Amino acid sequence: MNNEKVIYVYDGSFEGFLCCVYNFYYNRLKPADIVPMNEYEPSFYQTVEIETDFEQAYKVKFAIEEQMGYENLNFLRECLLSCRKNKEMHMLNYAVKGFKMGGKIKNMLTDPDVNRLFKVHTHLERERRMYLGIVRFYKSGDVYISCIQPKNRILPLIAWHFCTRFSSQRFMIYDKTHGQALINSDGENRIVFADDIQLPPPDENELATQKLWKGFYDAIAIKERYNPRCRMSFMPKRVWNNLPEMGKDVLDRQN
Amino acid sequence: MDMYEKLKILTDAAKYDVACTSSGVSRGKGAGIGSTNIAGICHSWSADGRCISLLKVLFTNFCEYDCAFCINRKSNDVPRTAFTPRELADLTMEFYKRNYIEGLFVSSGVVKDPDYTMELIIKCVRILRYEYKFNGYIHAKVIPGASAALIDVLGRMADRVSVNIELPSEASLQKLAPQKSRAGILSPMKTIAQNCAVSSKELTVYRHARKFAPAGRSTQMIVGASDDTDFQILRLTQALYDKYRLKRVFFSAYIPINRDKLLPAKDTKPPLMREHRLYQADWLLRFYGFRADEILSEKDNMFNPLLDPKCNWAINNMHLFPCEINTAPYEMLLRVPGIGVKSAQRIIRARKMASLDFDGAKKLGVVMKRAQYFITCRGKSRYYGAIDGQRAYKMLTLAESTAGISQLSLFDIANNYSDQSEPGGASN
Repeated sequence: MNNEKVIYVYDGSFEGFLCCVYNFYYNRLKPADIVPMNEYEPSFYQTVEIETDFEQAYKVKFAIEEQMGYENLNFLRECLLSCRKNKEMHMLNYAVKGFKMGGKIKNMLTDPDVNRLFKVHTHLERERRMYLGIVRFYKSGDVYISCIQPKNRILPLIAWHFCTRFSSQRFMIYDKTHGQALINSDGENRIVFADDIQLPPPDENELATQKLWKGFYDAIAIKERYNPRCRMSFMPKRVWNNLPEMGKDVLDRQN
Repeated sequence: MDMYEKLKILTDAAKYDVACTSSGVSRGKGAGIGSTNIAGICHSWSADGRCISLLKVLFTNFCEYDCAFCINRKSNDVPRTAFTPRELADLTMEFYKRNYIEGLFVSSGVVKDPDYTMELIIKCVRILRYEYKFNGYIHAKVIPGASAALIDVLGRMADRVSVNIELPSEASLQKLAPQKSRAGILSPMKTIAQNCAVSSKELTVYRHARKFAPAGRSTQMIVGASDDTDFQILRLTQALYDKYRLKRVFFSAYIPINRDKLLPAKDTKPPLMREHRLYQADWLLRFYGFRADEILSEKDNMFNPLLDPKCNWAINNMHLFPCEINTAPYEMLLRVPGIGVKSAQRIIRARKMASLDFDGAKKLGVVMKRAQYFITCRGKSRYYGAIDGQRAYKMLTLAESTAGISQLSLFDIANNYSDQSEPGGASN
C-alpha cells in the first residue's frame, strides 16, 4: 500500500463515501482524512477528489450488505448524518474491519474503531430522540411550520415519525443549520435542499395558542422542587430558541 | 372566565399528579391524526426538571371530598372552575397539532358523584376519539367509586387508566382521606384487571375487538404525609405489580400545601431524597429482578440516605462478590452496582468477541466508581486483599459525598434532602 498521505474530498453523500471505500481498495491509497467538499480547507496533504460513480457505489454497497449484513449498512448510512469531524475516517476503519470480521463486528464494542463509531452514533441517536419531542409547529394558513437548528442532520431520521403522525396535515420542518426542509402535503413527503427559506408569518390567533401553552408550562412546575440544572440537562439552552414556552420564564425571573 | 385563566387553574390543581408518561403502546397511522411511541416521547421539561409529555389537567377542581393532603379539598378556599368536554378536546387537538404534547392526561375532582364525573371525562374522550379521530395517547384517571360499566367504557377508549391509591396504608387513608376507603380504591383496580384479562381473551376471538387500556394501568401514592415506612411502601408496590399486574407505581413526595394538625408542619421540606430512593428501588423491582424483602426488611425498614438501594444490598451481601465480568450470568451482572440494564446487555454482547478488562468495561458504560469494589476482570481485582462490606461502604459513601459541588458533612446529607435532585426521567 502506498504510504504517501492524501486527503479524500468527496461530495458528502453516502454514495460518495462508498466511492471513497472503493478507491481505498482499488487504488491502494490510504487517506489521512476524508472530508466533504463543503468543509474542505487547503492543507499540505495532497488531495484526491473522489467523484461519485454510482456503479462503484453500488458494488461497495452490495459488498457491505453481503459481508456484514443490512444492519451494518444502515448503521453506516446513519453515521454519515453525524456532525462529528472525522466520522468518515471512523466509518472507513469500521468498514475495513467489517470486511474482515463479518456481521459480528457490531458486537465488538470494546474495539477502538468500533467504539469510536458507536459513540458517534449514540450522539446522533440522542439528538434524534430529543427532536421527536421538541419540534414546535406554528400555523400559517392551512400549513404548519417548524424551524429547527439541530447539530446533526437528523431530518431524514425523524421524517418517518412526523409523516406518520401528521399524515393528513400539511407541514414543513425546516432545518436551518443544514438548509434542508421536510415537506408533507396531500399524502406525499420529501426532503428538499433550500439554503434560505423565507418562512411565512404565523396566523393572527397563533399568539393566543402559544400563550395558552406557555400558561400551561408555567403552571405545571412545582415551585418547591425548582431545579433548573436538571431541566437544562434534558433540554439544553441551545434549543430554547425554538420553544414558545421558553420565551419568558416566570420562575426564572423570580429566582 | 376565559380559557387562559381556566387552564392555569386546572393545571395548577393537577401538577401534583406524577404519572406523566406516554409509553407502553405503539400505534401507527390511523384514520385521523396521531400515533403513539412505545418508549414515550418527552416534549418539554418544566422548571422543576420533570418531563412534560401529556397535557396534564384536571377536568374540574370542584370536589365533594375533603382529603387532608389535597389542594382541591372541599374546605380549601381556592378559585374553582371546570372545562366543558368540548373545550378540553379542542385544546388537546390544538396543542397536539403543534407537537406540544403527546396526548391528554385527564383527572378530576369529584362533582356531584363519581359516576357523574366519569361521564364528563368519557364525553371528552369520546369527542377526541370518534369525532376528531384522535389517535394519540390518552391517560384517564378512574374516579374511585365509579360504576364498573363506566370504567369499561373509558378503558376501551383510553390507552392507560389509573386509580390513585393515595396513601400506603389503610390506617393513613382513614386518617387523611376519610371519604375514601382502601376497598373503594382496590375494587375498581380489580375491575380493571378483570377487564384486561377479558379483553385479551376477546382479541384471540375477534380480530377487531378494541383492546382495554393497551398501555396498561398505573397508580400513585403520596410519600411523607403519613408515617408509613419505606419497607411498607415497597412491599405494597411489589404486591401491586404481582397481584394487579400494574405497569407502573408512582411516588410523589408530599409537599405541604394545607395546614392541618393531621399533617406534617407547613414548613417541612418535601422528602425528595426519599422519593428518589423509592424510584431507584422501584426500578430494581421491575428491571433488575429484585424482591422487596431483599432491598429492605422489617428491621431495617428505611432507606439509607447516603447510599443507593443497590449498593446497600451489595455491601450486605459481600459473600456473592466479587463477580467475574467475563463469565457471570446476565442476572448476576444486573445485581452489580454500577452496571445497568444497558451496560449489562453490552457486556454480554462484547464478551462473546473478546475477553473484557477494566478499560473495556468502562468503554461499555460501566460506572467504575461503584463497580470497582464488586467486580474482577480476567480474575484480577483492582484491589489487593479482600474487600469487605465495611470498607466498600466507607469508600462508596465517601465518593458520594465528595461528588457534590461542595463538601457536605454527613449530617447535612442526612437532613437536607432538598439539595438532592430527583432525576427528571423518574416519571418517564
